[in-house]
Amino acid sequence: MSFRLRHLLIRHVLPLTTRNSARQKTRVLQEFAQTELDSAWQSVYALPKVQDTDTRLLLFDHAVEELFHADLFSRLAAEKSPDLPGQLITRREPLIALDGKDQGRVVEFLAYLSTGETEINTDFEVYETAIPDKDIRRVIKTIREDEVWHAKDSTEQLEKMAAVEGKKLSWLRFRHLLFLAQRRYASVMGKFGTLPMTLMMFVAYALFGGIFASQARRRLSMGSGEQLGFMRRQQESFRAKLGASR
Amino acid sequence: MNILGISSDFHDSSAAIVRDGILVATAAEERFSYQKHDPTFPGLAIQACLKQAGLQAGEIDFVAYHESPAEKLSRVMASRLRDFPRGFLPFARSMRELAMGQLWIKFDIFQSTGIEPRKIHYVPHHLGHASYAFAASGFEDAAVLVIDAVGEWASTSWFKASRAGGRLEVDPAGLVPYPHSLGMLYSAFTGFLGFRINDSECSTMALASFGQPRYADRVRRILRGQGDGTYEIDLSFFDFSDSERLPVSRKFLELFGEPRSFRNKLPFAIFDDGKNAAVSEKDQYYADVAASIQAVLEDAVLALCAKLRRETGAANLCLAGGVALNATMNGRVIRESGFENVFVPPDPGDGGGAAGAALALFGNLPEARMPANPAFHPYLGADFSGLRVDDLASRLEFRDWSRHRVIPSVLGNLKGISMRRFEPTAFESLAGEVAEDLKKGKIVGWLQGRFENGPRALGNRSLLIDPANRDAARRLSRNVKLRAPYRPYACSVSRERSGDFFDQARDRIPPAMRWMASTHSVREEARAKVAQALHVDGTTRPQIVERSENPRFHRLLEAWESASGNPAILNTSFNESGYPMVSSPLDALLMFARTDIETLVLDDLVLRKEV
Repeated sequence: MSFRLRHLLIRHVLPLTTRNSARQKTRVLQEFAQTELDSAWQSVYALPKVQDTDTRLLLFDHAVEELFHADLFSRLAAEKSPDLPGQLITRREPLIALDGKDQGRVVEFLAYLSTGETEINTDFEVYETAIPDKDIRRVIKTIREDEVWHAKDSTEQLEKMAAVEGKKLSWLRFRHLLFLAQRRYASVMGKFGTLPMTLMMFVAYALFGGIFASQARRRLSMGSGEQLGFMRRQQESFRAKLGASR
Repeated sequence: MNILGISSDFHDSSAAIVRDGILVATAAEERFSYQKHDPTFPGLAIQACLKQAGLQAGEIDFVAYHESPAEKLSRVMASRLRDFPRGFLPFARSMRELAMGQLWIKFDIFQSTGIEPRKIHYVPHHLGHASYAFAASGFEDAAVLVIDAVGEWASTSWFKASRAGGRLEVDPAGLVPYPHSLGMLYSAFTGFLGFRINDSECSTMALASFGQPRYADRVRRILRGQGDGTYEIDLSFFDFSDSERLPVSRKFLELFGEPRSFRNKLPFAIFDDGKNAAVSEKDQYYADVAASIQAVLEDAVLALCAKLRRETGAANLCLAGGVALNATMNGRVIRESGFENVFVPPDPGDGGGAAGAALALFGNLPEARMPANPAFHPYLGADFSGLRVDDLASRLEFRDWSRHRVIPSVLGNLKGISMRRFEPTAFESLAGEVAEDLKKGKIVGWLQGRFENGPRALGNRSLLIDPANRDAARRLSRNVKLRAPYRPYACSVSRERSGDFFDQARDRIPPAMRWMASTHSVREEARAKVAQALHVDGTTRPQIVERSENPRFHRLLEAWESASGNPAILNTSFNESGYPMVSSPLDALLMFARTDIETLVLDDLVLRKEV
């Protein structure tokens, strides 16, 4: 049921399957690359705080492979792009805060990894059948071969560490599924959220743009002497604020 | 007094800590996020700088932010509204970005660090650049020239700076207002030549050496020198309204023709003594255009320098802003501007924006006094000496990475990884072994201590090879760096031996020559020794290594000379194409796995691929 629902959503919502625009394809492939890169980063960020060497090795191997996947998607994005693709950059923030002392938090991280990999594996299974573009399908197939092992390895390691730390697996998995769902929801809403903002901008632009346009032109054609005076005043005001704050 | 500097939301966001007027830590966010030129809020860099300085956020007295968001908003609004009623979409995009990002910067800083908003101050952008360059220069007084894309409203500005009586006085003396921007002009040509804007300007500079400035007159129709040493840009050739498109107008395309497609590979190469196979007329045309914009930029900057010298009477010049990353231009400024001393900081662009903001804030405090003769060096990044990697490294021999590499290996079958940890007192042996590896033509990844600031590898995060070994240079380009073959490498040489290679270094070392900030011609008789670090015009971008500044790297150079008879080493940044320079030993280990680096040195740990 879940698989069918995903198939439906991916086929009818994901721009890779619904649109032929090369720009859209590029954008989505860049987003895929960014997801893989972030996954690699999360592993490297967590690694120094993990004490168990097997888990550390798992994270290192995971990072090597995820970087490779990011490269594959980035290269494909450049191939599909009609012009030099811009950079897609996102802010890096650790999903699970680790402090190096409480190894119970490492189990949380492994739960995130295991749940995330299992979910991605299922998604990619759908992409493989839903995406018409052969090149993209080929890359996804290559990556999925790794993701199957990632899911298996991280789940095994999770089971091992959870037993050591006395954590209940089903509860861990459930919580991290909810966490993933919340992230996806936030990501989708983030995209739709720009729409009302754009509409507000349009209204403001249409109503007031004409009033301020001539002022804008005047400001941009200000001579260097006038601008220098402005720069000096800016520096004086900065000094005054600093002095006042002491 | 502790000041936290922050720059963000354009490119190369960064953080810095200034303690009692001395820059003690600075780092760009990209070094922690795996994203080159990362413009996002530098939360990771802030944490790293605080840790490096041994501070808690509560001990910060002031936060200096690198520009005024309100001024930036007024400039962006003016630029977008100028074209009213056209240009709604770029207007909406810019406003959305600002409204959802930088306008909330005080909140972001508070949320990330817990520092109260009342401690946060906005520093004029160019004042920050100028303060960083001057404070780092060690000069008592100087003229400071700041050239970048745009500050709040200035795109080029100049300052008179002095530290008389211990006060850091940096006063604006003139400017060229936005949108007359040399940085944006050069970037527009970079885009026209098929390279990424705000990233690959170095490619335009590299390509320029393969061409002749045949179209300089056409460029001068756009960039017009004024009689007083300033310049003006004919804006009808540009369209900066949409940041997602090539910012040139139809008029520009009528003058210069079709832009180069990024898909067409350029046939130029630094190897084979510059004899390039099958250079088409079109390829040569683009190289000539690159040479033309480079030449016109240099002339414009030299004219500005002449004006500054005339008006300030200063003997010293500091260059800052992103355009000061143009090493060829800097070389000409050193040789031709007439200033006795020219200084370029290691990170003159926005990566140094946080350091600049913090220093400017300190300099403008009523009671602040700069410390006398503060020693400045570029090794102010994070260090990872406490990071444990031996357990990982010792188990890597079982790994087969070949399936997960986009760059195929030419090393042959990997039999294993050998590992050896040296005692810190046994550095002589380590240096000797690495020198032997270099002599065998191996590619060495070299990581030690705190990372250097800015885009140049200065011996703490470096990839090293024998600069006379063409095969090693080819492998470095093809199987490690994935580097375009027309981009030249740089080299490092000790201060004591620098005169063997560079005429400029015979009597005294120009300050801008120390950290790869400028290109210089290599003496004819020394060229064979650094053949793979030479550009086609016989120049290179040297690092002159001082023993006092980087004793381990200096010692490695000596060991290399003992082993090979060559005092110079080819030194390039420790990164893959598209990624920032490595930061931690883990990043280096990842790159060791993904590329054909053969020997990896992580402070006192040496790993070797056995094939």
